Amino acid sequence: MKEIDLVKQCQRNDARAQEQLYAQHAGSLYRLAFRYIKIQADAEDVLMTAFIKVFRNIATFRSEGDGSLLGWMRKIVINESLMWLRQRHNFNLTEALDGAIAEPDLQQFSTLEADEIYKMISDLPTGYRTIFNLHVVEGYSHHEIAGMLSITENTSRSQLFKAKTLLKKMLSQGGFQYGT
Amino acid sequence: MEHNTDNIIGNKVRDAEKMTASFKHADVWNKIHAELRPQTTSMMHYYVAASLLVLVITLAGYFINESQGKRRDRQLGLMEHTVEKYVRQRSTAPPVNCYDNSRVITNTEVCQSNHRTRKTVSDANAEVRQSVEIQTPLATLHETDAIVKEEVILPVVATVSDNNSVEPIIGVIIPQKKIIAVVKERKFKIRLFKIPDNSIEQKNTDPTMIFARIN
Repeated sequence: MKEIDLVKQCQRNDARAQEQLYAQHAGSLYRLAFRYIKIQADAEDVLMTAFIKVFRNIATFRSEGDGSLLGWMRKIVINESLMWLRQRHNFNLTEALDGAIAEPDLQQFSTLEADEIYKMISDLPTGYRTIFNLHVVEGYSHHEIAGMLSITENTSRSQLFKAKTLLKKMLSQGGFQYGT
Repeated sequence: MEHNTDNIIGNKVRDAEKMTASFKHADVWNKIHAELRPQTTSMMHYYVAASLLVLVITLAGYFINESQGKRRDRQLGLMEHTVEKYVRQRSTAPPVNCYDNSRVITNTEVCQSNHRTRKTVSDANAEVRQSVEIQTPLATLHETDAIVKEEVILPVVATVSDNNSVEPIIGVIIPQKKIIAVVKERKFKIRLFKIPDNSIEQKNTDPTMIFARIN
């Protein structure tokens, strides 16, 4: 079934279409949530809340071609994940670095297999991981991240710097387990 | 360079998300479904309740109209039958001279009078004379050579006479306080008189109607 047809059926509250949409995207969206949340049960809760919002708001979705639905759902999952994180983590605790920061080069890191990169990112502490995900993977600017997490841009830059530094260290040590 | 590295990492991470994820896929769906279902169910209940309400109102309206229609038809039919019968008999029979100028007799008495039962009519006169005062006409309907159907909220007595007021007059009262006079074939003048309250119920054994007869 085409994405646009699936959307139309979901907009009519068709339970089968909703289940089909869930079956198609639950896996990747769960891994997206897990990349932020890191705790399986909580990631499942976030996924559930996100899907409920998807189905309740799908009438407002305007398709812009294949793939736009997944992009829209990813945004919802990310927002839900950030909401969950904001309730449990203070992103302002990281000390902001002064002056211009030369970020560590992650070229070696980028040569790893996709699943290895995913696992190493998931092992980052919450603050580092969140900023790294938003900036490097999702492509948000530090200005946007500052608005999303109610932090300063400098804090965002500092956390990204520390995240990359830690990733590099993990790579040199051949893997690193870091607590949240 | 750095930006390019970030893009490569970002693409790889998104690729990694396409891999099979092990989580409680069915449990999460069941929770989502359970969360969405009450909304669907309540909407369905709303529609069913609204439909039932509309159905009940429609049926009630139908039956009320039906019963009112039947009652009216019954009254009209009875009235038409009685008045037509009376008019038909009057048109072929000579005038009956045994009535007072102002009196009310029952349906039965009219029939009896048409059969020239002087004794019964006389008895009826004695009863009716005490019952109803015919007062100044409340209204006089126009003469007609067709069917006259008129409903008046009342209490009234309706009288029907021909134009020269020589012929006997007939009136019809329905105890439900509506009056309908139906006359065919001949030109009649219909006059409506107010009658005292309770007089009909007290003095007439036939609850469906009485006939007034005056000059």
